[in-house]
Amino acid sequence: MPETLDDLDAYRIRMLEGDELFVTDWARERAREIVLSPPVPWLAQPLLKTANFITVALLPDVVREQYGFSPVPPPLTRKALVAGGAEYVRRAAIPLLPDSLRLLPGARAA
Amino acid sequence: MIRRIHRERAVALSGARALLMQAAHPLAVVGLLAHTSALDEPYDRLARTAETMSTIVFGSRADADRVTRRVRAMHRRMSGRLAEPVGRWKAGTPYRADDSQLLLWVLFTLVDSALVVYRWYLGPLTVRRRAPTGRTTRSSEASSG
Repeated sequence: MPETLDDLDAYRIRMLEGDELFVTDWARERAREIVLSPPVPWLAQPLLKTANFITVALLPDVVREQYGFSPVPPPLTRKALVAGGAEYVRRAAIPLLPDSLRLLPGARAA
Repeated sequence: MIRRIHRERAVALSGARALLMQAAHPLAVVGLLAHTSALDEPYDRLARTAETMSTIVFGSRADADRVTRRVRAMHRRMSGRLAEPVGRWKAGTPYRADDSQLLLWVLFTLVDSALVVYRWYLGPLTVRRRAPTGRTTRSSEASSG
């Protein structure tokens, strides 16, 4: 197990630049469906679509490419949009949230 | 540190990324498909996994040990060989759910995804880096993503 963040970085590079990873047809179809299309109420669909947009943007490039996500918007544009939203959340929303909304209940008790 | 990261609701965003990365490892996928009924009720299975992880992160040491013993026992029973070639992996390649390299990949996806989401949505993560001697030396921002 990597013991430091530098070790973790080295492991990340080895795995993402190596040939051990391979997105199978099953993963491309079924895993994608399970992960990105959970049964949620229709009112929560916009939230799910936003979360999925973020998920795809934050995937390592090599993994995103193998899954064959839509090329629109292009990865750099997608990442820039998510970065802008994240900047707003980090600077404007998170600092204003009370702990009761920001933190998990179990975590507050631990 | 792990509690500091996972107590944030925003870090839940990292789950989908971690799962997609896990599914990108063919040996992890084939083991899942061959030895569990997870795909019949995938969301029940994911909910159980989330509960297990919550116990490990926020529960007592005794509770964490209890759930990890159960998970290890399940993993010990799961092994096999690839029926057909997948990517660089040849047909007949053996796999085991308790293979330390497979477990490392799964753990890595969880840690890496949580770090990425934390850094993007909560801010820089300052940690104490450990020198080879094991002595804590300096603070530094976690880099990931």
